[in-house]
Amino acid sequence: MSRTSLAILIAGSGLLVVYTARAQSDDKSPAELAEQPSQGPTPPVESAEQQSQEPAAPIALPTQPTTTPTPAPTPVNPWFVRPPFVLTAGAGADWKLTIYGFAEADAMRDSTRSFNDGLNNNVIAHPLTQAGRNPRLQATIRNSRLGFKAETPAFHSIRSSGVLEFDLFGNQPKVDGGGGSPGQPSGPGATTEAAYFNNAAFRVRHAYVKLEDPIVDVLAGQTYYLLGWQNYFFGSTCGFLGMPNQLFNRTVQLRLSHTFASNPINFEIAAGAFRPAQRDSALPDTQAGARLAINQWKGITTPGSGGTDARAASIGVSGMVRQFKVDPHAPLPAPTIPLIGWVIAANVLLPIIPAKDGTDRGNALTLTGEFVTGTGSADQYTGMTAGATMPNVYPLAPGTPIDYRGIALPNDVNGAAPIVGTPYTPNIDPGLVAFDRDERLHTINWQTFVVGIQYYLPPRGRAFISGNYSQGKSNNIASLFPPDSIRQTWVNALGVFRSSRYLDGNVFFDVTPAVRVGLSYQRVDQTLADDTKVHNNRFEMTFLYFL
Amino acid sequence: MRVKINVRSSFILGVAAFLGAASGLACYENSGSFQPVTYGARPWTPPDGWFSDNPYIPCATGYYVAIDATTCKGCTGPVAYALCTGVTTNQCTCGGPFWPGAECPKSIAVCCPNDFPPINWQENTKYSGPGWFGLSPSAATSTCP
Repeated sequence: MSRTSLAILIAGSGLLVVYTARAQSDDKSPAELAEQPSQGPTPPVESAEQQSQEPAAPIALPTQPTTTPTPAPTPVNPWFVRPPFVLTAGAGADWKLTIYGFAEADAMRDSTRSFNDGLNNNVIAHPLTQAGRNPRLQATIRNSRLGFKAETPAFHSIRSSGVLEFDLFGNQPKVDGGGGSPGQPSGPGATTEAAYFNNAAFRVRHAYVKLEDPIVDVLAGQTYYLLGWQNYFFGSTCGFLGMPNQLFNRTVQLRLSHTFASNPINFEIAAGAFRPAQRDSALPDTQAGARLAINQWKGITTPGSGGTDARAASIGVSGMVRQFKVDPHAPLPAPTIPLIGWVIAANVLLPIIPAKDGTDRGNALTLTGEFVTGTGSADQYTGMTAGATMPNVYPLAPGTPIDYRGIALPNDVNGAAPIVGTPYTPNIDPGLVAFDRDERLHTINWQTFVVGIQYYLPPRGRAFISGNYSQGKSNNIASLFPPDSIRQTWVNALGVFRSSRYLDGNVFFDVTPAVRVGLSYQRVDQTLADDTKVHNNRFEMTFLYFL
Repeated sequence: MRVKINVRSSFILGVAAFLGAASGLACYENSGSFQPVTYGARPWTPPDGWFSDNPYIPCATGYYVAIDATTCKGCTGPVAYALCTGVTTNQCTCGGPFWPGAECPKSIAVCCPNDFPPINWQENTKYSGPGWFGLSPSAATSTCP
């Protein structure tokens, strides 16, 4: 613990040194100032799932500006060029505010009542339940998005920018909502269907400040996790990211990074302190990674359903270490149980048929891949608990008669009442750790991989197809949630999955440079903790207008 | 005046320290380590016959059985407590000071000042096994300092 605190202090001190050095160099000569790289024309910033990449032609939305002013190359296919909405201020028009986002409408039909508008990693309802035997149709605009990026003139070579981005997922379902299995409410859960879809509320996605200079870049605020180098390696799908078994989430962080840039190759390293998954751990999560990009070998890629652009072939590795300190399922006060969670991820973006720029889409073929292994890491996947729950009840009094469900029989109701000490309220979100029958705490293990492919049809690439396959497996969740665990009344083996597979196929068409439509088939297969195999078929269509 | 500082080295040092600390955490704990259910709890092996008939019914976390302190390593008083951790009774703790609401084990009329059970734990009065593990109630009270 103290070592991590020391490391944070050292890292913070490094930052202070960097910027103190910059601030103290006010007496640079005009020549020195002239050598500072000026910030060239900045293309629009963020898009659906796009961030932190080199800018291309003014079509989609990179954030990382170039360090040297270069004339904009002529796009291969000007039809795709979509000028950004940029407001400027100041005498030199060098204070900029870029407005970006998109309006999106989706409709999806499922073969079960297991999911809300996003598939993510919900549990498919057991076939013994009503939800598992009946279909569902939903229509939503909640994935629409609005963002702002502000940039100010460079100050002693330090460039600063800030991003605020929102979507309409503000009214949230319960964390386990949509499961439809016993003990889990089906549908939106905490609100009515009408309010859930028609009164969609703002939700923050990104809110961060970024400082960039030739030595180190600093990002403070909420954006994607570093793990998996999100969002560089995302696949293309109509479904709402993250796909099942895909690393996808955002949180507050302080990230340091540096790119060793050259013409053929960029090598980026980054490390950061992240909001801990469990605040009672009293330590930040730590993530770090390295990424290699081959700059002249570019492939067309669409992270999610928008933000199509050319990205350099790249491989990335990243990792995370975190600590948990969980209250034991016993009378409190008692010593917390310390456990470690960790993750290692490897990603690849491989342009099989490369492209020259973001508009050179016809006959472009790109492969994306991700492999992840770790433990105590479910929060790195969207909406992922796999149905794992923590105790919320007292242990029954010794000798209390129970029925086959573990419920106290009426003739001894008094004995079933809470009688032991302080009520047990978990001090950690579900899905990360679990108690076994001996009240021993374990982190839940997960191993996942995702492979995606995207092909942009000739002649121009206005139409493109994509497919994704993902798989996830836990080798210990089933033993932590056994079907015969009648004394652990919070255990619902019918609502816990131990493995999951996902497959989708998508067709997109750009009606105009600003309008895209898509059709998709998505199938999720899961094996529940009681070995029941369940599946859900989804058909989805999407309409997007990009600002 | 210009201050020359090797900022690149500072950055690299900072990142290296960060990663070093993170990797150090990896050695901190794992789920195979002993997990005490109350302060001062330690591993304890129950004698033959304890909770052996139906391990799911007679034992629930939060309940204790008073035992001879000599069987719980490190205890000096006459009374110690065997603690149920779900399926088995595999931890014990020494008697401790009084806390509001604390009750002596049923068979001990008066607890010595440091013979009280752990905070918020209750006696397993329905336990019908060998019990006491050699502890004589009268012996417990007669040895108060």
